[in-house]
Order: sequence, then C-alpha cells, then structure tokens
Amino acid sequence: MKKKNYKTTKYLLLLIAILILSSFFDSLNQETVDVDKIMNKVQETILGHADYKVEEEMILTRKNGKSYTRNMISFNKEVDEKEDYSLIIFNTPKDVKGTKSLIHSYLSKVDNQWIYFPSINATKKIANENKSGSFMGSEFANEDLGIMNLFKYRFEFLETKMHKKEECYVMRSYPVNKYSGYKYIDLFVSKETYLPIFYKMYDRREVHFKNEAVEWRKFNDEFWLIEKVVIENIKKNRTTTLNRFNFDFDVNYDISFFNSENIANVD
Amino acid sequence: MWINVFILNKNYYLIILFSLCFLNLVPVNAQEKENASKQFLRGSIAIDYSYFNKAPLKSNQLPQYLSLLFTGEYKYIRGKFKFTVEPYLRLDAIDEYRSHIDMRNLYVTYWNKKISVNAGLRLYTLGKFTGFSLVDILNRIDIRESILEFKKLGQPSIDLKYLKKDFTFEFYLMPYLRSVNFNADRSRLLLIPFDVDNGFISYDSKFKEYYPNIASRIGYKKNNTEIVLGYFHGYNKNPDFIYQTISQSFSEFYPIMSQWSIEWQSIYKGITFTSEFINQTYKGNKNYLGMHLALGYDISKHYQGSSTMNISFEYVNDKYRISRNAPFGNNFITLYRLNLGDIKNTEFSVKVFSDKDLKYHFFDANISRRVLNEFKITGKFSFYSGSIEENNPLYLNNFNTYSGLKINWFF
Repeated sequence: MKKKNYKTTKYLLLLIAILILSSFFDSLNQETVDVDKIMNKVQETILGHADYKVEEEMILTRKNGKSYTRNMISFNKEVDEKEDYSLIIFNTPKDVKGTKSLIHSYLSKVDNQWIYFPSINATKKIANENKSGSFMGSEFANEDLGIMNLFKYRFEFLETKMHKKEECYVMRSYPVNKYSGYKYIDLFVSKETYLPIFYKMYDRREVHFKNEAVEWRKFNDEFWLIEKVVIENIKKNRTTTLNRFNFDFDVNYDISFFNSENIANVD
Repeated sequence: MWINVFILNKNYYLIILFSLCFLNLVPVNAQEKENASKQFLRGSIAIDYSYFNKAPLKSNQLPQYLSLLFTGEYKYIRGKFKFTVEPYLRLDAIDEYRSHIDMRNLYVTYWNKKISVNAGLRLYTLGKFTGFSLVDILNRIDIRESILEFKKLGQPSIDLKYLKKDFTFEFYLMPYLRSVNFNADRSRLLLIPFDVDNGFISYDSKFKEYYPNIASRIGYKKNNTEIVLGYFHGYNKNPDFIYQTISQSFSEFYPIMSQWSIEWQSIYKGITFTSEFINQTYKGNKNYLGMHLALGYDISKHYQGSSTMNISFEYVNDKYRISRNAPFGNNFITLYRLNLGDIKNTEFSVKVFSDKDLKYHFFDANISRRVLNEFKITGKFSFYSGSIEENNPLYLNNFNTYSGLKINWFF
C-alpha cells in the first residue's frame, strides 16, 4: 500500500517538473512585448517632419460604384513633438471651393478643429463631442485627422500577425476621448519600420465596420509621411481613397498661418 | 432694358471687364511658393424663377420674376498682400428695376502674425448668428435681392484686426453707409421677399452725407467659449419708416445711434449655446434693448455625409423700444431656422419668421440637390416655396404664397 503511494507521488512530481520546464522553455522562445516601447518607437518614426505643402485627392466611392473626387491642398507644420498643425483648403466640389479645415493636433490633449465657410465668411468650431462625424462626406471621421491622434489611445498588445507580407504587432487601442465613435481599434504596426500600416475599426457596439490601410513614403531619408490611405466601410460598402502627391518641402510656415482668427486670410 | 443696367453702371462694367482680361492673362492657381503670387477664382451663374400664386400682394408686385444671376470672387495674393474683387449681377427679364450690377467686395488686405488690415468696399459678417444677427450692423441689406437670403451691400471701410494670445481687437471706420433708397412715390417695405423699389434707385453714399461710423470689438476665446464686446456709433443699418400721407407711401429714415453689444458662444456636450445682447441709444434718450438666444446641435456624427443640422431658436425682445416716428409700435420677433445640410449631396432648410406687431409672417422651405458628373460640372438645383402674411390695409392681398426654382452652375 505504501509502495503504491510512493509511486504515485513520484509520477506526480515528474509531471510537475515537466510542466515547469516546458513553460520555462516556452518563455525563452516567446518574445517579450513592451507596448510603451513600441508606441514610443512609432512616435519617433512618424514625427519630426519638416513643414510641407501637399496636393490631395479624395475619391469617394459609393455603394452603386459611382465615385466623386474632391481635390484639396494641405499645409502642414509640426510645431514641436507635441503639436502638429494642418490646414486643408478644398478646391472641388466647386460649390464648396475655398472651404477650409484647420486642425490643431496635440499629443496629450484634445485636438481643436475649425471649418471656414467662404460663402458666409464665417468660421465654425467643431465640438469635441462631434468629432466622430464624417469629414466632408468621406469615410474619414473628423477624429481620424491629425497624426497625433494616434497617441490618444490606451494600448494593449494582442498578438504578432502577418499583414500583406509584413510581420506586425497587433495592438488593441482604446480611445481616451469618451465621445469617440470607436470602441476600440486594432492597430497593425510593422515590425520592420514601426509604422502603423493597417487599422481595424470597431464601433461603439463593438462591430467591426471600417478598415483603413495606410501607405507611407520616406522623404530625404529622414522622415515618413502618409502617401495613400484607403478606408473601406464594410457596413455601408463604401470606400474613400486619399492620394497625396506633389509634396513641397520648400516652404516655411509661420505659426500665425494656422491661427483660427487668420483662417479667412490664408489662401 | 438689360443694356440700361450696364450703361448706368459702366464703371462696374469696366472693372469686371478688366478683371476678366486679367484672369485670361495669368493662369489661375499658379502659386507654388509662399512669396510667389497666386490667384483664386470661384463663383456661380444661376437662373432664378419665382412665381406668386396670388399676385399682386401689393400694387407694385409682379406675379413672376425670371432672373439671371452672376457672382464671382477673384483674389490675387502676393505674400501677405491680397486683392479681392467680388462683382454681382442680377438681370431680371420681367422687372427691370430688379436688374442691377454691384460690387460686393473690392478691397486690399495686408496681414501678418498679429495684424490684418483691409481697405476698400467690403462685406462683413459680425455676430454668431448667420442671417439674422443683432450685432451685424456694418452692412445694409440689398433690398433688390431676396430678403430671405439677407444679401448685403458692400461697405466702404477700413478695418484693423490685432491678435494677442486669446484676445482679438478689431476696429472699423466707415465714412458713410451705402444703401439702396426708398425715395420713390410707390415705395415698399423692406421686409417683403422679392420686393424692390419700383421707383428711382440711388445710393446715399454721397460725400455730403459723410458721417464717421465707427465700430470696435474685443473678443476673448478660450477652449470652447468665446465672448465678444462690441461698440458701434453711426447710422443704424435698419431704417425707420415714415408714412407720407400725401403720397400714401413709406419713406425710410436711418437714425444715428450708439450700440453696445455682448456676444457669447459656448459648446457643451456637442450643443452650441449662442446669445447676443444689444443696447442701442438714440438722440432724445430713446432706447432699444434686443436679445437673441439660440441652441445648435450638430448631427453630423449620426449621419454619413458632411451633414450639419442646426436647430436654432432666435428671439428678439423689443419691448423697451420707444417709437422713433415709426408707423408701428414695438416689434416682437421670432425666427426659427432649421438647416439640414449636405446629406448625400442634398440640403434642406426651413425658415419661419414672425413679427407680431407688424403682423408679418413668412415661411420658407428650400431643398437643394448638388449634381456632379463626369464632365466635372458642379451644379445645384434648388426648389423653394413659402408663404407671406402681412396685415396691412394698404395692401391688396394680405396673404400670398410663392414657389421658385433656382439652377446654379459653379466654377
């Protein structure tokens, strides 16, 4: 009877030892992922650009296949690593020609956004609570605009995954702004470049409704800027494609260029 | 008769001709560098047809109007300097007195980090209310246009704006106010839509009527709140009407007054609270207090499309007004305006205006559809309809309804 008990205990100890060892070797193989470290690296990679002007073409494709093009010029300034300003002036559709959208994007506080309507010569501020609204009829929400917006989330590491032949860190990001239209966004950060290249967006009811694919281009071997964005609304079967071309870095904008009180003067 | 308009306004005609020649010489949007010159051009050509069911409301009113409209805005920008010109033309095939050519804007601008200066003929939009603002006193309304659109006349002026952190200081100097006179023997009231003076049209912008109208404003903006204190001294843009017993008509009178104003706007939980308060003082201790209140809610977050819906309720309390030779007593005005803008290229708006003292009411609804096609033509079809009620014994009819169609082509 005693002998039988001894045997059982021996097998149990052996099993425990195997389990401990296997988990130890597993942990050796598994990569340790520090979310903050990754996001700091992302921040380092995408910030630090020069002042630039760029032409933009936004193609809105509807459910029935019809598409509409909106042309804009965008003026951009990175004030420092905590502030980024951009001014977008619409050229088409012709009836809204001259409409301007000014965005003051901040790293750690709520962005400010204004729209200027030339027909009534008036500037309207967009309330923080309304930033989940569409940007000029596109699949972009107002809250998607501004590069600093990426950092207004609380991140959680999910997994590493391949996306279009690129190995990516997949992070689940929860918006800090309680008025955001997103419950969370799954963010795909390239392991090689530390650039966010794909977003899976979930609405407040946790329904996956939008995908956003971003293409980046390196300029002067120094900094990265977005060259193309494709947003697909799965729910409504619509797509918005933003193409950016004719980047011009031979500009130097004074900060007053982006003052909401000067918005009518800037052309 | 359309040719008469050009002959009468040959100076404007020459300016437009010169502008068009200039446009052909220099390619538009040719700018590349910040200090290089650049140009901007926008505008529209429209056909506007309106029909009154029960014509005439008054003796001068015609049952229908058919107009060709042209408006264009051209800017020439060089560094911090800018030249803006905005001509406007209405040619009415039925009522020749509605036909006119005008310059809405013709001014030069200089601006830098802190200061901007404009000089010339200019349209201003003051206040937080679009369309019916108490503090918006610098331009008089062009009565030959639809009152529903509150089209204004350009104002000769010099203005200066100075920015200091969260503060804005503005100063305006206007040698005289431009307006279209009512000095005809068959003149009509200002408030009636589509109504124009059927007599001699002239401007009171004569140097003999020189009077230094001044305005200044101090604005403070922080987070989602903006407060503006304003002062104006000069001719009121809104006339008093004097009833001429001999001619049995009204003639207008623009009194000199001083106005203090406060504007306040705050955004809280997506709702915009707006208010305006004014205190006007006239000679002889006559006083007028007015107040506007409005709430606005942007529903764009609930809809796809660049939609904005503003439900605003505007209220004017005129009960402290002392009659200044006006034929009517105190005004008690309410204006409701609903805009549903740009949802799937469609816009919808409703306006309801009521003046209990004048016993004048109007209702107007407008639906517009933007048309975009493969030829890159942007057009807009607008259909509008409404009713007017005015209990005035002088009028042939007190109630009328109207409908209209407007087709725009934008360039």
